[in-house]
Amino acid sequence: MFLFLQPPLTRSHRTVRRGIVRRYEVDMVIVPATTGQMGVLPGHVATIAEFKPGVLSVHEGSETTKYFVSSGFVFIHANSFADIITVKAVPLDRINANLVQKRLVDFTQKLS
Amino acid sequence: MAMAALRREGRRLAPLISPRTITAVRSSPLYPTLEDEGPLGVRHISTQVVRNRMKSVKNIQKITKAMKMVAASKLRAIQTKTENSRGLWQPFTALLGDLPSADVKKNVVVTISSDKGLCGGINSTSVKISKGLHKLNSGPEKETKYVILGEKAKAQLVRDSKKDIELIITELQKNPLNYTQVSVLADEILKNVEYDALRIVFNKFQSVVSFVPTVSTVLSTEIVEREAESGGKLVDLDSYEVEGGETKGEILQNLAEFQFSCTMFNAVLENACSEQGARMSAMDSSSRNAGDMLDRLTLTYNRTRQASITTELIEIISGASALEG
Repeated sequence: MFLFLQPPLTRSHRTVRRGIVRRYEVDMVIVPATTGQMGVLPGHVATIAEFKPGVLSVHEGSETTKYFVSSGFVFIHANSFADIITVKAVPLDRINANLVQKRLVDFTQKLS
Repeated sequence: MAMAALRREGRRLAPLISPRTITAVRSSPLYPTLEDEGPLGVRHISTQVVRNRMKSVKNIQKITKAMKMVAASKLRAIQTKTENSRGLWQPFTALLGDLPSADVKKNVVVTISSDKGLCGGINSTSVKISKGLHKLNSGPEKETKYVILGEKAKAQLVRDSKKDIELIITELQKNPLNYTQVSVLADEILKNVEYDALRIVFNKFQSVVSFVPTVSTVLSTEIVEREAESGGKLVDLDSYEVEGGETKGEILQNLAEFQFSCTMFNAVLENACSEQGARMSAMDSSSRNAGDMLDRLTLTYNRTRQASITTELIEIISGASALEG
């Protein structure tokens, strides 16, 4: 969604793990905040939000890229810039669902 | 040729003429005399001392050259990680600002240094700056504590500031540096040390030959609010809505902790890079010095050798002419 008369949302995404810094101009970002899924659009009010591990989706025109992110923070500034800082961000297509299930079972066993 | 022939003659006659026993007292290897004893008791100047020195200087040169290459490869490995981690603390600084001039009661100086030596002067500069910060921030109500990372800073700071040291952490680089390790460390520091402002002292890696000592300041939430209200350079946090959690204070506390661990991660990486770069240049100048020393010693060696040959020749010729004339 492109709001007229507002600059498009510029989003810079920084992660600790692979240390990627990417700046995009996007239309919308959906962030897994601790209070639930939060949609960030251009012109969003300035906010600091913490997020829990979840799926981050970036909408650019008709394309959507999804990432799995571990916890972190998102700062939304008044000039439609958003900074997303996480420890880990993995594009969803690199995640192998079976491996994840197996690991989940392993670790739950180790915990209990 | 004549000398060799004369030597053989000498050896043939030695048991008849030599006044000393064959088992003459030899000088001990620890204190080599400058005079060698040849057959017939002929003494010529020994080049042994110079030769020993040349051997050891050559070995040193080889070792320092190897150390330089090792440091260069380690630097390459860690440099990409460091450059990537620089993006981490930038949003925090953009939001919360880096205010080294904040006047607070409880300062904590986190000094980052290396465990191994032979890396030039970077550890001394870090310690000097930490001590400077300590002096700057001590007063009637203010106090400064140290948290030390690395053996080198520990050795220097334990001497005169022992009572101000809160935590000492060494052997950081046993495993390759990663964020999990640093976040555990940051957690330890935050739990055990009371702080209003954390000042991280490290050497920022600008290029292979340039390392700038830097101080990153992380302020606790109360101080941030105080500074923002007093209309300082910090942006007003109130203009930001804070989502989630029970209270705004809790989120901001998490934010400060995350900021500290990100800044620490970057600082530790930068310092490691600077350490390898400084070691490279120190070992490079060391091998160059060893090369110069070797050149000088070679000249001395050749001069000594030629002088001893000349002396022998003179003795033989004057001896021969004395026999004739």
